[in-house]
Amino acid sequence: MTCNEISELLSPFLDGRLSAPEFEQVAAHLEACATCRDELAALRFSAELVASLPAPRLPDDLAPAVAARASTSPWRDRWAALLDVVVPRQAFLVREFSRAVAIVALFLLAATVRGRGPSDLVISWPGRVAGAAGTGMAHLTAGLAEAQVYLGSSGGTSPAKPAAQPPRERRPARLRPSSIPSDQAVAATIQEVRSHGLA
Amino acid sequence: MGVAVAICQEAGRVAAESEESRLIARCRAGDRAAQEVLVRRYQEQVYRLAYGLLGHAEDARDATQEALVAMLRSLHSFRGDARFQTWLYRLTTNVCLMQRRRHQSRTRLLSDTPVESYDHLSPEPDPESTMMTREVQFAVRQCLRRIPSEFRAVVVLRELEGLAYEEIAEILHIPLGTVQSRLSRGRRLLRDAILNDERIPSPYARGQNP
Repeated sequence: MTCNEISELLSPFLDGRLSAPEFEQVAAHLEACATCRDELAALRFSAELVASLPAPRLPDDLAPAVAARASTSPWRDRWAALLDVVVPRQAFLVREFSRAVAIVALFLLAATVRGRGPSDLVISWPGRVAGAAGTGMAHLTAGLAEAQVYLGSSGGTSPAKPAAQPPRERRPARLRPSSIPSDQAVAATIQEVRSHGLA
Repeated sequence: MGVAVAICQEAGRVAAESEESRLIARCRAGDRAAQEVLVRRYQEQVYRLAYGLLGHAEDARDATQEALVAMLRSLHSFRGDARFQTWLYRLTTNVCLMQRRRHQSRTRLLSDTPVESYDHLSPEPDPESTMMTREVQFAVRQCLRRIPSEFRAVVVLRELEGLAYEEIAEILHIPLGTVQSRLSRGRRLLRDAILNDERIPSPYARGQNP
């Protein structure tokens, strides 16, 4: 096998995912080729650096806020997200009023767009409004979905003590991120993968 | 003796599973207290995964909240044929990838300027990792963020979550062969990023794979 072919197999090699014959081929190549040994050692070093990152702790308990949000309808959630930009959270009356205005405005807009002008709407409005309502809803839904995408989540959270959590299960660190010469690291890797059994 | 231990362990596992399915049933019925219990049980895990995928404390917290709300709302679609954790990981991964896309279109958060202080990183690193300074941790997380998301997802699920190829395939809905090839590529991208980062001390040569 060429070095390029070996290079493709190094990642599954580390995970013990190669068949026994493939594994022996790679191991034999590694014994002969210093370049591939370095490559494997560097691959393992960087992967294990990531694996040994400490687990972050959630800054607060999300349970009350999440359970409260989940029990409201998704629609309310989207409204809240949309209105958060338009009006500050505290101004309740303004919010409720603007909500009403927004609905009326959106429906009128949709109706106007669909008909040729507001006068059309006045003449035969029942049919038009019925039709436009559908379009209006479609626009509204699309608009809100978009707004939500841009706004992100907006659920209020109450500060609370983080709940006690079981410690994270971690894999034993196979290689310390220190200066281990790649020859030794690779010899150890081959031993280890062998002893864990192959695919 | 060994058989007895194995039987006890199996019994324990079955008991834990049925306890969980009872809890899920109560959540489905709208029991607020049960919902809070379920959220508390999984919020740290979801946050850890989100942090791994997004590399940013505040974004990870937002995504965690989003994923957990989605979890409670879509519990009816969890049919118990997969493990609950696998199902939740899939949901979380989807939420994080969506959130990332939206952030990318909004701002260029992914430039190399630090967007958070080191204080956001784990406040109490465990003894095993004390040899990694905060600066190195931060740099490693940044390297991870630079990998394109389809590769990063596989690397995070494998290296940070320690999952098997089979579980990763189920979570990401991709074939096993794809897990292997993406992991291979992802690890190489990660290695190049780490070796080229002068903040990370490494015994290996830099810049051999630009």
